[in-house]
Amino acid sequence: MSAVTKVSRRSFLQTTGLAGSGLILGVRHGWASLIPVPGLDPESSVFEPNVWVSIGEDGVVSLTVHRQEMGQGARTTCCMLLSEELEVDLEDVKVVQALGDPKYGNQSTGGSTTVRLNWFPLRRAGAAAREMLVEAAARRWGVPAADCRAESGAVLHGSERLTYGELAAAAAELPVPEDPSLKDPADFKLIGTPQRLIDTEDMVRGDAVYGYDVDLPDLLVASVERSPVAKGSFLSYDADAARAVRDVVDVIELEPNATGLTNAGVAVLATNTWAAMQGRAALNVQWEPGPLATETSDQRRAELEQIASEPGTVGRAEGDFEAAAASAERIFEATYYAPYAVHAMMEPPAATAHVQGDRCDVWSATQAPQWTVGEVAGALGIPGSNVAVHVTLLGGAFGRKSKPDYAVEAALLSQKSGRPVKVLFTREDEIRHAFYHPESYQVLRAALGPGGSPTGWMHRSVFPAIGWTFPDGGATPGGQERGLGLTTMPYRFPNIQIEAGRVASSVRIGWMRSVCNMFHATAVQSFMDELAHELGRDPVEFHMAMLGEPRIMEVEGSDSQFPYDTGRLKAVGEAAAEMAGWGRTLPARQGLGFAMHYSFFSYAAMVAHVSVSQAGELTVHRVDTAVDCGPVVNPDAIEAQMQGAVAMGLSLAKFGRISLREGAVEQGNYHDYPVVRLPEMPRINVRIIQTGDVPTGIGEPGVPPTMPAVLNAIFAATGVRIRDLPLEGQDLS
Amino acid sequence: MITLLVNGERLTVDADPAMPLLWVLRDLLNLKGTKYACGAGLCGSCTVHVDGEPVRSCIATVESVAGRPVTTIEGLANGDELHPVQLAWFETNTPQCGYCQPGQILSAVALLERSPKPTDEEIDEAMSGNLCRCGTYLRIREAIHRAAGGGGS
Ligand code: FES
Ligand code: FES
Repeated sequence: MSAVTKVSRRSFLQTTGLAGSGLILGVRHGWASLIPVPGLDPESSVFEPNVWVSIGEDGVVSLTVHRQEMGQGARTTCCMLLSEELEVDLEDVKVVQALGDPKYGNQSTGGSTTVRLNWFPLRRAGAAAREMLVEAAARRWGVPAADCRAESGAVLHGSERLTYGELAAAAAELPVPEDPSLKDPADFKLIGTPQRLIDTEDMVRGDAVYGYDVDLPDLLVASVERSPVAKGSFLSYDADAARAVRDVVDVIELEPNATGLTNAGVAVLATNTWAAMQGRAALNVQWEPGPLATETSDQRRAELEQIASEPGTVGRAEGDFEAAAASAERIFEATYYAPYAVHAMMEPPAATAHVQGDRCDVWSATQAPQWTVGEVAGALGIPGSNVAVHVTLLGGAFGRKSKPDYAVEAALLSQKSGRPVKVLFTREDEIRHAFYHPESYQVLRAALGPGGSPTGWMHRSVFPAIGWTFPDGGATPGGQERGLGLTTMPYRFPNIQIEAGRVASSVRIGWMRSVCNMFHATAVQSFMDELAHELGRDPVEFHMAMLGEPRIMEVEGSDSQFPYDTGRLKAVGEAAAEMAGWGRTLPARQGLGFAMHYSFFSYAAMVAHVSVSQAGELTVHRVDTAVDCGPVVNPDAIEAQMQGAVAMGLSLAKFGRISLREGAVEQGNYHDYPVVRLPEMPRINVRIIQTGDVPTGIGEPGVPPTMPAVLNAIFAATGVRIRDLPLEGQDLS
Repeated sequence: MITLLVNGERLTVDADPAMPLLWVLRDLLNLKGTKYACGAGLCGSCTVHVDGEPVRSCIATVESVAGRPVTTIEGLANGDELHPVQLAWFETNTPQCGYCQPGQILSAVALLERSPKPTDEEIDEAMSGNLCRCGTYLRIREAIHRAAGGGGS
């Protein structure tokens, strides 16, 4: 430990005030408060060709990021897209986090969409600004714009040079080009190069501000005791006991809100977090649990199994599976089960609200600032234009923080208490009051003709749809959910029948990193492995043979804008197998497992190398993975996302289980909902294959193949086939 | 009134003696770099040093650390100069969401003070109490080797 280097990187989290006056919310080393300082507007930008780019007289280039940072690198990649075309250096720009506002288009950060949906819009925004600055310089010098070039925040012509700051005022007078020309990808300087996330220094210093860290003068911290069973109501509680706790200020009841996002609760408000928690513990709330209090996980599993024995809604039908089954030599069948799971991101949900008259400011660790605006406005009965949602960094999210329930609670509590209120979920709250990854039960059947030739594929998937969460939502899994790994099955079977079954849910359902792809990939990729072994074929050879000649698939879950090309799937599959040395001989009780999956328009394949001791202890030694998400913006972030996806997939495979007892979630913290720790991490090799000219998603696609790759490797090592998740408690000896 | 020694500064706080150090740091002293994630000693996010040893501040009462030197993430850097372990984290692009990293860094600093050239096994052992849900573990291991002056394992 010797070298100490000065790091100059500065990053800013800045936003705009309610009345439109610019104000700094926080600057590194100056994070002291998130208090709006009216009138302080160091920007005074003179050139604002669009909502993304602004350049001040002082030459400071500010880029607005409208997507949220939760560790996936969104803030950095958005800046890279803008900076590449604007011709500025990433170190020199100031980054402004956008408020929730429709003017940015879709801000909802989920579905691995940030790069895919902003590849052109942000590059165009940067290019438009660059063209105007170049034009301004050309006019100043009286030379053709074509003879000038932009570089590192300045325009150059021969030995002459004008900075963007010097050109900003003149550029602002010019018309904004409607169709600016984008750079040839061969000329990219930034896109495609590894870049450190712009918030890294703040993070290692402890200066980064998350939802949990927001502070305001006069702030009260609220800890909310919510009904342990969804839709329960409280019978009684001891407000006096809570108020008797030192530093407790108030006890306030919360009604469930009309949109189904929040449940009944009793909030204890205090001047510090510990007091709020202690006061809450003293409440002794008695609950009327309501009609959902009868459900237990064992019953539910039997119910799912029953539903899976009957036909569901057809998502894809080709040929005639029933006829193929009737004439088959034999039918090979397997069923797979996975329980509910929860996000367990390190920062539990947290939001702060300050209601003043008919206006409300919200500071929230949210993936969905625009949804937050709508829900808060609805709950308070004020127009959306009176709600300003400031977005902090998110200490992990994985889909949970797309729901604005905690911001709604904070807003209602601020309205009722008359003070700014920060609602903090505890870990137990996060695990027990989540929007869960759905449990699932799946039946797969293959019809096998003469000589073992596969003639039919039947897949029926039963899981509670996300629509159950919302009063007006559909209860049967729709095309969107079926398109997450069910109907996108890529193999060539002459007869195909794919269905989804409808089952109720007693807990709320939400999105979790790759959503239904997780259990669909687990079932499809396990079944393909089983089938290969059944037919005495090598799994990788069997996968490739069943993919057949590359083709473009048009099914639920594909999109002609980002064609689903089985040739790309094949390429990542072959790459992963090659990286892993597929086919090599391993010592006893070791094995390789293969899986590949298409999701979010990207392609990922993995080979897991595991060993299982005689006592049944699993070690995952290595994961080789190849991924194709189109042209690469930040390869360093792709590697990080694949590592994180493996960690998450492995956690779910090993431990992921949320169970219900009388309608309430049984787990509560990391001791009974474990996630993998450092010693459990395999070595991970990532190969990036770049195909095509449009980038697709990377935040999620690495998760789905992880589980089946590990399960298939366990089979290779032991002959034990795991069809129920999680592994914990199962005998692998 | 309880007297604390935080990042070299002597401070007094008026708090319930049973209040965990975590909330004293965050809510009373406005040192928000120390993170809550489990409140039960299960995840390491709230790690600080007390007398140079890593301690889970979510389960250490403020009373128990009265008068003893406490170091938080804010106390590691020397102004603009990052601590070598912070620098190693920075150079290896370790953080994803970053939330667990203050606790990871403090655990690593304690490890390196004990064992300046740790093996992978020592790292696994010393860091196994710090969860990272983003899965930055491989880079954490790399960053520790880097801070130790090695190129990697
Ligand atoms: S918050 Fe203290 S160990 Fe998790
Ligand atoms: S970096 Fe997100 S939890 Fe570790």
